[in-house]
Amino acid sequence: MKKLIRIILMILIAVGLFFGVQQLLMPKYKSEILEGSMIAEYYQEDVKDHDVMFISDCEVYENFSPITLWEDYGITSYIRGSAQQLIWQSYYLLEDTLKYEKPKIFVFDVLGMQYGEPQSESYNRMSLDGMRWSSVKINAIKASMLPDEQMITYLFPLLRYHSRWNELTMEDLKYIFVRDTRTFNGYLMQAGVKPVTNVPSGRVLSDYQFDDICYEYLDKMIALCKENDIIPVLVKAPSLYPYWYEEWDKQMTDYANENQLLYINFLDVAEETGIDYTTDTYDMGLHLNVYGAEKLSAYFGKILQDTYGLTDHREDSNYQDIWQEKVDAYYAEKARLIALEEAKQ
Amino acid sequence: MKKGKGLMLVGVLCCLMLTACGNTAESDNQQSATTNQENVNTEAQNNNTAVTGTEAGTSDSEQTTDASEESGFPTAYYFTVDGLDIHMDDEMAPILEALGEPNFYYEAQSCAFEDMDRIYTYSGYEIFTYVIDGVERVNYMWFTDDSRKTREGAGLGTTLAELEAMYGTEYEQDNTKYSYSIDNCKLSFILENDAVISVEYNLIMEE
Repeated sequence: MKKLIRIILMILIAVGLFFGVQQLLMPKYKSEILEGSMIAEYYQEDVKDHDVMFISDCEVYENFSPITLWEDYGITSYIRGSAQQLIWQSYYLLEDTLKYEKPKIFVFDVLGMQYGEPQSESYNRMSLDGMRWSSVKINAIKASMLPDEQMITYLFPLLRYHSRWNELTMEDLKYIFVRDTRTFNGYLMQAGVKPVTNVPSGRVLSDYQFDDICYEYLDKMIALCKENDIIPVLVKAPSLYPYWYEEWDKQMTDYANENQLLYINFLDVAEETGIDYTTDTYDMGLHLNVYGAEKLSAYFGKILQDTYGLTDHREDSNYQDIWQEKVDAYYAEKARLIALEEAKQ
Repeated sequence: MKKGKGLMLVGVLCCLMLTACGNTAESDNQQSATTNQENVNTEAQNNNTAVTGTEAGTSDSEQTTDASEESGFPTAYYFTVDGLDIHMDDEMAPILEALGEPNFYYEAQSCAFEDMDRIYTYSGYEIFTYVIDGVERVNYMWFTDDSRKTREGAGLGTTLAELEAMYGTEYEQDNTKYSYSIDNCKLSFILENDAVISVEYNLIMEE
């Protein structure tokens, strides 16, 4: 009996050590490449009850501010974004989200239609490693893996990150088990200004048709929304690069018409939103800075409220304290980033 | 004593785990280093070009080169402008010095990573670069109007028959895109109504 207990104890210690070492060696994405921690941050939300859920790539997490949607319209929202998020990853993240809540509106940025194949292991990791384990995550991994990737390295990330042992920093120890959030309901704030001076023209493509698999997953997203009484909304953020082709826009317009969806190409209404590309972007028009994101969100919030009559929660005591805390943190970070930018000048 | 052996066993297992890791050449912070390559491959994939493996690519290239030498087709693809030869993967600094300031310059930083694609726009063509091991190198070029020609004389408006006469028929076809590869360069032409509407040089990255 004692021998059995000893064996069990040894196994438990070995397993504990394995997972402890794994936790230590996995990248924490807290002081740099913050995008890597965003998918996991969602699970730390105390109240998973949002009117609007954005799921897509950098075109959502850099360009829309949930805090502005709250402040201006009392709309609660969250962004489940990750760098170069592929459309099948967006689909599975939507499935994953539905295990926790049923938003009224689901927003998808159609730039995600541009990739019909998995692109990069590094980006896959940032979208997938942070997901909680479930059959949904397994399906997301299967859909995303490049030919030279192996499922076992997702099951046991230690096998992927083992070589980090000689790159460990204090950050790895600090965040080994507890990780604070770096975004504001999924919005990654940037306060720098780098104006647009010109934008390269789009290269000629031999085929402008979006890949069948992208349409397949777009169809699946729309169907999943309908099954759950969620209104899907398609948007194209006003990012000037990568180039958004007219041929692509027409496909999305046609798709939206066929499926009776709202599709807004914010590039067409950039002036109306008030975005000034000399002050409202931090990287020459690829993404908006916080000033631009606030303008865009104020514009989009009005459309959402006018079109779908979302409830204004600002006077609702169930939301007030939670959101006030978020608002305070948001402005503290905004002030910090602005001070940093000013110090650079 | 037995307890000690057990603990030693656990310790040895952990050490083996980490020792094995230490011998791995790849580093996880190579994430950012690999991204440049990924971006280049992405360009190819964006254009729906089949990205072949290095081995296959090399093999094809060798065959093409041999065939080219016998047939009088070019044995290397590169662009010449104002007497300056520009090959894929050439360092950008001397090119920039020779060509002078571009008409436009654009930086596109990769999401999450610090890598940056730089785009230099000159009259009639654009040069794209990437950074590897701290050195900025050319990974893509294309003609933006009909004022430029390849060394072999192809440009916007060239027909497929003319391309075949210049480069042969050993091309890889994807939709209306015809690509010829030698060594690290893929020279591609997109045709519409039997006329070239796009000419591009793409770096073939080693995996």
